[in-house]
Amino acid sequence: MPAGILATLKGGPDPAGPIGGVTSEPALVRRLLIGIALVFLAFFLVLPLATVFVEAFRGGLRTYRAAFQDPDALSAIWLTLTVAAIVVPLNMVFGLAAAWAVAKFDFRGKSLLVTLIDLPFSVSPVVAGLAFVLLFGAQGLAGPWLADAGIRIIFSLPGIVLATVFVTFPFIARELIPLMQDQGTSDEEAALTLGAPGWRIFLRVTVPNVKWALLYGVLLCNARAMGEFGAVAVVSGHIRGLTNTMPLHVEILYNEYNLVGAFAMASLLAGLALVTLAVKSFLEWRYAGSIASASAR
Amino acid sequence: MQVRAIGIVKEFGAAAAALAGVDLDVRSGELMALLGPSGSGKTTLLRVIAGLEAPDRGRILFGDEDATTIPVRKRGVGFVFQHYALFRHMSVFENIAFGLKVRGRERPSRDEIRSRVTRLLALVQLEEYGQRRPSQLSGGQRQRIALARALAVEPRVLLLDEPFGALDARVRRDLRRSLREIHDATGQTTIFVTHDQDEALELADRVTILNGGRIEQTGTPDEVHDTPSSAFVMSFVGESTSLPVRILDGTVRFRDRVLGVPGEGGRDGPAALYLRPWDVAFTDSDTALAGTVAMVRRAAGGRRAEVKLDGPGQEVVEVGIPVGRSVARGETVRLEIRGGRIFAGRP
Ligand SMILES: Nc1ncnc2c1ncn2[C@@H]1O[C@H](COP(=O)(O)OP(=O)(O)O)[C@@H](O)[C@H]1O
Ligand SMILES: [Mg+2]
Repeated sequence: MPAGILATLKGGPDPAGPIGGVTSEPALVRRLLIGIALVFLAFFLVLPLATVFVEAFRGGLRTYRAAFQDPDALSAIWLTLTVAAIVVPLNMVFGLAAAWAVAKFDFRGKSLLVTLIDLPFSVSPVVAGLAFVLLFGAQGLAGPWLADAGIRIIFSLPGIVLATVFVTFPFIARELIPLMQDQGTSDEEAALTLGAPGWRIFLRVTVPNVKWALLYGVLLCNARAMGEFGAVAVVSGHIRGLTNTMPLHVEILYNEYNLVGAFAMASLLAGLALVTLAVKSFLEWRYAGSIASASAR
Repeated sequence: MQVRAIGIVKEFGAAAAALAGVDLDVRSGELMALLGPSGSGKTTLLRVIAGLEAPDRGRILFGDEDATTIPVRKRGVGFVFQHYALFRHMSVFENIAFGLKVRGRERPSRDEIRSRVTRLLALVQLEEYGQRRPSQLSGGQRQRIALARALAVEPRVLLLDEPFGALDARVRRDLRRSLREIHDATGQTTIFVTHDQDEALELADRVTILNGGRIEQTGTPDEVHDTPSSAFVMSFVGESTSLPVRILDGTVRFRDRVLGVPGEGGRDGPAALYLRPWDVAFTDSDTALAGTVAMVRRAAGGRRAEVKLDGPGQEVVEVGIPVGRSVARGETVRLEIRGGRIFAGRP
């Protein structure tokens, strides 16, 4: 998925004109393919999304608003925003560090590291959550020690943050690695010969060279951090008003047959996703030129 | 600034040493070319001089100062990369100004920076391009900017790694001339890497020829071309073909025929005779070597005939065709060997 973003990124606006000019499929086949894609999109993406909003507003604007007056709902929103605000900067640092290490240095175990970066994509989030419970839970490996020290990780904010960091770790690193590898180290070396100190090179050369990929990574990471359910469900303990994030709260409301409340909260989550998508598209459109030149030498 | 490398050894992992004991002496104000085939260690040597690579053994001297342990950013070198390595998100002006702006306390004033960048843009003949992005420039223009950026910090030595390697022939010629002019104007000690012998011979004051991590010869373009010190230099610089010969009593023999080439005190035994195209001439003498013209081609310095010698070895020699002489493929010709250089061992 992140690689796909980069592909669109590099493609930019197509100067060669309409695709029809280079493909040789007859018009019928082309229409059929486009038709299938559109039907698929409508059925699996647009329809469910629309349903969320329709259900959310079924009781009218007043009930929709009322759904957010509930203190538990407010605390879920607040918790989700807090988690995202902690997780995204953390993964920005981890992602940059990992991508830097992979792209700019040769060392033993490099391919292992690259594989490990992908691990969160392939491991079920529930398993990840369980792993943290086994590590830090009351009966877990570090449990007694943590209890003595008075530190609470599972069923509280640190556990939720840990689980979310784990699940969203690949988004930024995956976005950066191919680009950084492609760019090599000569820009940094040039800056070095020109007398720039290390931190200055990082801020003035390395980061600007990857800023679009970094931004996409951050947007994706943020979207996922707010939406993560599985791993967080295991470690949070579902304590209303305390450790309930927005996705968890949606589930609770739904199970209590509070459909309007559930869909209202869901519509907010979906809205956040849509905003993310819109920001990304806007940036792509606005900065198409510099994005294209960022991938060219 | 005189730049010396003394006994430089550099190994990457378990493979053969990239540099196996290299001594280089670049005089102050000199334009030195490092010439050699791909993988011979040219880039590694340049990077060791710059400080981008630390040598396993040996020392780098700038003048009388030992620069071996001076970090890159304090070493005062200008480095031009084959693929320019311009900062793509900065304008041309900002690229050139970068080295001046990051100087910390010694940073020149804004006006000073502005006037210096403007002067450098003029030096590389791109006055109008200050506000462009690197992506809006052609390859040749980008390399000029990279050169200006390297010169902006007034380096003690300018290092260029295959600076024209990614450019097409015409742009390359222009840029070569510019580099020569800029060098003459600034008197900057300069070392550039190339695998293109024409480039090295045309541009450099002296040429150093590298092979397998060792220096084969250092000398003026004329010296390395006319008096190569090894068979490698002979075959790498300029055109040449070779014949297996035998030295006996100070004479050079090819298939028991004594050639009119002095043996130069070579030891008796098998040797290789290297011939430039003009060391061989067509003749009418019946007793001369006979052969058949296998191919006629046009080279930069005139026309060449590849002649396959009659006899068991079917050796091929290349002959310079004098203006006005017509030679056809398949024609039987007789050849006289007038010169050439003897190196020990078989070709
Ligand atoms: N970073 C490196 N890691 C491993 N081997 C290297 C590295 N850089 C150069 N080498 C090896 O050192 C030798 C010389 O390389 P190089 O200096 O790049 O040659 P040239 O520039 O003359 O083509 C080559 O065999 C190359 O494979
Ligand atoms: Mg090289």
